[in-house]
Amino acid sequence: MTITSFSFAGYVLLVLALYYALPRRPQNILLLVASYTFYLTWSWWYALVLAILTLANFALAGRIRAGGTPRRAALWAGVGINLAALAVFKYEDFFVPDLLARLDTWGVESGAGGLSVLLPVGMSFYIVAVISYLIDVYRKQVAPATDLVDFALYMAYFPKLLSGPIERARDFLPRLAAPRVVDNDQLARSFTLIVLGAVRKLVLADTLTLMLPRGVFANPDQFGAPQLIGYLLIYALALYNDFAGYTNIVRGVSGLFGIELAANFATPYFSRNLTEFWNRWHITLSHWLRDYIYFPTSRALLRRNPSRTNVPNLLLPPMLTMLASGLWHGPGWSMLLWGALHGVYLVGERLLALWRPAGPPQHQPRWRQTLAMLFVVTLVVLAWVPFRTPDVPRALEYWQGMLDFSDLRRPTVRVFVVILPALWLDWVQYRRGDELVFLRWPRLAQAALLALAILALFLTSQVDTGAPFVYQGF
Amino acid sequence: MTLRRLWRDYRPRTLKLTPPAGYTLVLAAAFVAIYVLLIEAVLRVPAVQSRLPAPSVRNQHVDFEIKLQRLREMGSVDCVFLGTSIVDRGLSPADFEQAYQAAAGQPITCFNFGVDGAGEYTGVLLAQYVTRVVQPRLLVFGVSPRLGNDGDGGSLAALPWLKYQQGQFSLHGWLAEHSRLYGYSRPLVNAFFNTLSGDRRAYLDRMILANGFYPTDERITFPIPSGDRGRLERSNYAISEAWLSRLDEMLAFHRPPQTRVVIVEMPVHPVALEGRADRQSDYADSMAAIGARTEAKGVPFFTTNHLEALVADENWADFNHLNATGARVISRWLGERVGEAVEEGAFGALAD
Repeated sequence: MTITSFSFAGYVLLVLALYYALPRRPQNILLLVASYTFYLTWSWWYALVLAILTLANFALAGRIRAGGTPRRAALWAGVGINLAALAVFKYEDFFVPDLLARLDTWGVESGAGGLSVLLPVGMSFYIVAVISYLIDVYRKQVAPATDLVDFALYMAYFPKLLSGPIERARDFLPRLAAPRVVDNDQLARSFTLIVLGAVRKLVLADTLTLMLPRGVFANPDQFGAPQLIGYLLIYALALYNDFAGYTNIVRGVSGLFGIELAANFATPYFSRNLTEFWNRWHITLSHWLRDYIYFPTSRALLRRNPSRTNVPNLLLPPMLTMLASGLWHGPGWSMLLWGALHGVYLVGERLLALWRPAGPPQHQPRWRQTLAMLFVVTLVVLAWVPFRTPDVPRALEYWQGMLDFSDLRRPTVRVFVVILPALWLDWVQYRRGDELVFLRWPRLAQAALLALAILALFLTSQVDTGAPFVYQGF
Repeated sequence: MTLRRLWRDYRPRTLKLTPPAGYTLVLAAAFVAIYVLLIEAVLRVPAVQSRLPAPSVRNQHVDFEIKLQRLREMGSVDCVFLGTSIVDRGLSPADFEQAYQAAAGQPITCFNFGVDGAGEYTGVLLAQYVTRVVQPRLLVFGVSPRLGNDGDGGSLAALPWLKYQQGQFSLHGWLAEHSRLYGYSRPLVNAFFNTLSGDRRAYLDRMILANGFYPTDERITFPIPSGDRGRLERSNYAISEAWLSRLDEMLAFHRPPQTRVVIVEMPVHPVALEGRADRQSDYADSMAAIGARTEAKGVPFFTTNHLEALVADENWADFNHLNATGARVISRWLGERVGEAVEEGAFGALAD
């Protein structure tokens, strides 16, 4: 059951009807049952893996709380189990064939093939969430859950199960314990998020994806520079609207249950530096990486050498963080290259800040802010090449092709019919610093825009596409 | 007391809406209605329609949608050819009309409504539609017992629009018939975004003539490609009772003087009759069975596999389909036979 399907809408309405009729405590049980039922529509196998990991982490968090020396061992055991599960399901294709080949070269009989297991949808998201929970319990930043239902719901809550947002237990568990109210304002906010999400995903992302010719990232040598540049920009917008659209929808759906989910995007292509970009793009993952990789690495290095100009202090935290980000997005050298590239960008930014310290970007003159935005967008868009190409040689070929202007064919100008509304949507949100800016409009203007959105959704539902959410693949 | 306390502690209290809730939604619905009415009005302007692709009735048969538009554009039609792709590509209305006029001494207007995959069952449904909408004097069913019975007709027969034409109401059926926005949105959006089906629609739009004929200049190749060879080997000429009952439904349209029916056997390449020993005998039995049924209803049945002019490979796109050259040969031959029948008085006049 995909979240843009009518069956999902019907399912949500059914669960809501039951939910509103129940007091708070049974509501969580209902949500847990609904979450597992939803996951079962994907695969019973996925639900089983989730249930086992939920029980294991619940028990381990209890051990971490228990005190004494086993606390650290229990933490490492917990982190190890979760990473091992991720390694088995997500990365076996990446390292097992290499490992088997190496064993063969050493004369060790390894048999043929890998493990051929299927990554449960959403696993990458709930694994990092639960790792943060174990670490927070260890750091005593959150009390371990004593209620298995609430904890299981934290892991499995169906609006965020497939692709996040990656919620922290310290934020999410109190929301599950608190009374929930869905009043007119909450309903309006949730509905607006759902409509915005549907427009971003179905009207903008899917149609932009349709305009990408097949094979542009697999065979870039068949396209000229203007095409490669144009298609890369289209991909950048499509990817953003796809994931931001998904997040909006699930946040809106969750809002109908009176449970807020964290925002994941804040007009990222208007960022004025790379650090700001990572505070606006996939925010819950970026902050997770910051809190559990970047800060601990920085602190550990600063303890050894407190100088900010010390080379390892400058290089290692951003590089390690972004390489981990690349690895999280998928097994493969091209994802690592994408991560490394962003690591290099961040290192460059830090070096620049040491050489010529600059104030907060919002205090810069407007022209400088605009130039900085263009510069950041250029760097980010260039980095999407290895993110999308199947391997590193193809990424290099793509970049090389972007410099070859012997073929001057360009993408169709029709693409602006989609690009302009996409940019307008972000611009309106960015200018007011409010993703729900439309709720401040006069009621008549809101209604006129909503009607346009409904018509646009109808029209694009006529396109022969059924593109899944990009981040569902991670 | 206890119940009251229970209710106080546990009553549902999540949803707390206060009036006026949903006012914006009501306004938005009004805006949607205004937009839709405006768009419907614009899409009904003939000058606009002439620039648009064929409207969709929401199925996978793009060729069917194009033919439906062609048929509507023609308006008045004296005879309609019905059947599968073997009719679609195998009968040329222009050649039929020419030969018919030469033989009968009067003009006639024909339309090819053969559609890929529209077997006997679907052919009957389409015949019901055309007799109601364009009221042709002549229905020509191109059949081939080798194709067997198409059961419930597959996706085309299940189309809500076609069911709506049979009197079964559905929202999709109603919208496909009456809403221009519904009809034009899919082809317009697909054409705009250059999707695969948009490309295919544009290609077929160029290929299918105003009279519904889809001429192909393909030529049969030997050895026969593996896919076709498999189908050829599975060919079965034994006729079933189910197929014959479909034939009866076709013959039921024969209600002179309003509507007359002609059944024509669509030929196959000689290679399709070779091979297994039972093929020839099954084929002969099938032809005899069809002949008996048609004769009993007074419907002319034309067999075509004896036509020497069709034997040459240059007439065939593959073992199953005639190309434009073969279509010209059989259409002229058929037009002449039907024209002679009219001239001899076996048929009444087929055109006003």
